[in-house]
Amino acid sequence: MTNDPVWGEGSDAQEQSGSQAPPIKIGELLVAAQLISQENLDDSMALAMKMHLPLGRIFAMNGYLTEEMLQTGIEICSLIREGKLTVESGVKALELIKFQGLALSDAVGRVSALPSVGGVHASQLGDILRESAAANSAQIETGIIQSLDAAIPLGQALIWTGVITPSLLKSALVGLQLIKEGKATRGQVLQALRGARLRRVHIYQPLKEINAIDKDAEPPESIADLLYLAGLLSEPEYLTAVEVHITEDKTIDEALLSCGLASPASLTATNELQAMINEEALSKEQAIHLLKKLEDVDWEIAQVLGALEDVPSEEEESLEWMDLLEITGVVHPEDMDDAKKKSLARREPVHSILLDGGAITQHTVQCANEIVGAVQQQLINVEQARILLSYCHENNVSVEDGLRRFNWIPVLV
Amino acid sequence: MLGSSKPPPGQGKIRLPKLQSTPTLENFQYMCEQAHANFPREVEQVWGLPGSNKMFSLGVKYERGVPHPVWTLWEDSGGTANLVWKQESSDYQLIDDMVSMASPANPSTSSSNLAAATPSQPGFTKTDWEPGATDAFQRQFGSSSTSQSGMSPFESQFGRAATSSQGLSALSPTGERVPGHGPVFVDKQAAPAGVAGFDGTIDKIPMSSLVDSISNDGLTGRLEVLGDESVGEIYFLNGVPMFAQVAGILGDNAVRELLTWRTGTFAFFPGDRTEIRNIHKKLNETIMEGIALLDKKKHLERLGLTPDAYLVKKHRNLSDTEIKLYLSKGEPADLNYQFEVYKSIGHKYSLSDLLRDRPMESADWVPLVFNFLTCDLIEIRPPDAVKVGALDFLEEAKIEVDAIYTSMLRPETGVLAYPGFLLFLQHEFYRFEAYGWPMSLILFEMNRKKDYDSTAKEGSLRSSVELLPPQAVTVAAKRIELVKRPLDVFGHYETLEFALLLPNTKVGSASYVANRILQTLTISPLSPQIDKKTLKLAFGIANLPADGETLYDLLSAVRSAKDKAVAGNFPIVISKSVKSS
Repeated sequence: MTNDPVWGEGSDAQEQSGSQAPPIKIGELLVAAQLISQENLDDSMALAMKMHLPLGRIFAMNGYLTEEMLQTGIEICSLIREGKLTVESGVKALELIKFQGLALSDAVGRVSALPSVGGVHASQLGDILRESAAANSAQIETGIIQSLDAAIPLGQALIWTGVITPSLLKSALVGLQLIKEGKATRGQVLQALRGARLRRVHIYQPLKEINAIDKDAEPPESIADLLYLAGLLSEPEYLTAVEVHITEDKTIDEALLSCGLASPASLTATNELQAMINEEALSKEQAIHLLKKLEDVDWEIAQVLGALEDVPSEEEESLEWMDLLEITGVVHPEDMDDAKKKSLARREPVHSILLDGGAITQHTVQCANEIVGAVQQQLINVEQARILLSYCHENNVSVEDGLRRFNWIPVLV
Repeated sequence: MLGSSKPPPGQGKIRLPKLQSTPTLENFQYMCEQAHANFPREVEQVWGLPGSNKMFSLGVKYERGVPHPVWTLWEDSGGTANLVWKQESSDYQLIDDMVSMASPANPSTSSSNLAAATPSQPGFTKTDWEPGATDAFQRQFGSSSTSQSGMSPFESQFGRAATSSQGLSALSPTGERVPGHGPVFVDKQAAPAGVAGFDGTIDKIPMSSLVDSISNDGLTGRLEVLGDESVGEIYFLNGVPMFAQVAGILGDNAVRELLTWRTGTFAFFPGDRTEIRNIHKKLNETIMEGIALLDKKKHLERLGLTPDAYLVKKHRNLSDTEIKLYLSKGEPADLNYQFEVYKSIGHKYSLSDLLRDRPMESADWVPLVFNFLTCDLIEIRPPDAVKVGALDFLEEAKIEVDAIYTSMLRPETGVLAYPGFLLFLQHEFYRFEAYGWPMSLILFEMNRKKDYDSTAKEGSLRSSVELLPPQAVTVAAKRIELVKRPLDVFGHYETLEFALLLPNTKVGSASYVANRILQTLTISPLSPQIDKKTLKLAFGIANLPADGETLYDLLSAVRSAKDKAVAGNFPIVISKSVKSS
């Protein structure tokens, strides 16, 4: 084995060369990154000694570890010895390679955003959120670790754990973009971001107030906005793509592709639609309408343009709001039967009897009506209607709030 | 009127009646109006100070080609008249501040400081950089960057700054502001060659002393402070603080906020100016407020307050009236707001939680928390006191407990194995039986479409899925961990599926959790080639008591719901929908 790694006590290459002991041995690194158990490592080492075979081959024969993975481990060990990674960041990088299939350079790049494990590149988003007092250092650091473990961008980790809101992330990303493009200074963005957070408005509002941007300026739009407005991306997906686009210096097309949120064909088609909007050959509403018809399809542009004629509207189940009350369990079946009987006897509407008897509230009736309306407008389907009514009824929230919490309709703040 | 060395009065000067006290904003405005109306004549206001033979003369005139009136202040101590300053400005408040700075009537400032630092030759404009003032500062703090090593002052200053602080690296080696950092200010004039700034650490020099000294020495420039979490800056013009900002806080509040900082580095950049003004209060008032705020903050910290420390209510069952009575014992503050904030303090509620829910500057939250403490309404507990695991007191013995739990995980995914999940399910069912607490179950599948084919119909798609590799399941589990509550139990279900047990949860809320899981699994690839397009997800949701009374009922209902989700056009189905269809 030409590149034989160091496994046991007192036998490492650094010691042989007389320099300082390395911070970790390759065996320890593999165990720490959960690539192999300590027991399997010990057994393999004993077997390698006995059979005079390279340890890597023993690993491969036993199916513990591939030769490639072992080689990666050795490379990370070298980076640790050279002081380019700390032990913790090396372990984390190896985990990312193993569990998320990242290339070595990508994994090393990601762990370098981790301040406490010796990272050299601060997280741009983390910095701006911390400096604008939207999150503290501990929350940012925890978020970075969670984002690495869960293979999601930092912003999403912070949203899922309740540290920031989606609208604040949106503002922070717009702010970062403005700084990068030199359209606003960091100080202005920080000031505006704090204002946006405190007042729960989009960052453009405070930026305009401090004359950092033109009064008539509008937030930039990309094809991600088009896909989001057409419902082909949920809000978390949209924000993920934008975050990757801005923080990883990718084009929005590259970001959508790398996140698996669009196919090359769909991007081509959406870009062509965007071009038509820009040339005023198509209105934005028409483009969104076309895109809505083509959900989950890898389209050709001809297919897209022919969508209105070619793709039939999906037939929704018909839905009455009284049925909705019953099938979601909001009204107990016995109560409903009683109410129907009384309705016949008294010649009063069923819902009046349910309301009088306290089986339902006016809020629930209103929600049911609104939700049926949303189904008729094809904003949501029947299954979503059932879920939404249950949620609004249980938590006493409006349909609008419910839709926003479920991210089922685009809400551009 | 003034001493003999005063230059001869300008032709046609308008002299206003002598005042017995320092002129006010109204006087300045009147002077300016007169100067404007009688262009190009100068308007002069003279005043004396009671009990002193010192006289002051303030003149204002409009000059050709200059947009703002030019003000000059002369001081006569009985024999010699000295020009104190000359300033072009339409800002009466600024002139008021500058006059106050020079007037002994203002107890916080000393004209002798200014006089000592001001060259006495006529025509000197104080807005130019003053080496003398820097020297005074250097003597005081001993931290000047004036070159002693052959480096130019700026090289010396920025060379050190760059090595001592990352934040200062935003400045270029020539002292110019790097585009993209800090606010845009106009009329920036570089300091003359040979002029040095100074820097140091606020760990040794309190911010209040630093700001006070810059003010007393009448310096012009920008003070930049790099704290632990943020960067702040104050612009001074002839010692008058003009503009301040820190982390988005502006003006007087920013100065007050900066005064509470105790760690970090500072650098003073002579010559940096701004015409924007957002500081309007007298500096000594702000300093007094800042010091009081800092004292309270220190007191709270001595009691263990950190961002992660918990604010724990001392009394569980106080009525609204009782809370208000307690609060009335504290320092005067908005009672209703205090009451509202106190009511919002929940279990396991840290200072970070409070500031997240109600973003406040330290000038707002410090007095609030201080009042809660002094009114005996809350106590501060360290993060560990609440955060530690319930069994941590077992210390070494806890390892055995952890080992049992670890043995219940599937090694390849690190997710609870099916038998272990059933064990927790059984326990929750007993709770449901005993207390009637609802329980919800989400049964779901996470599979990969073998060959993503947009033309595939439902039936063929179902048969063309394969299990996710264990690595992808591990990543999925990490994401689910982010969106579920700690008390929810996530595990394998039978061989190929997964389940999430949600104690004390109804169907609607369980659907919300399922929706969050669905969204978090699709926002980015779980592993290469396993993304939104290739993932096949289906969630069924059932609940007790909505779907029956036994565990068998629950499991049957959730199975039917999930099967419908697999075949249907929406990946989340609640069991009630199955019964209806």
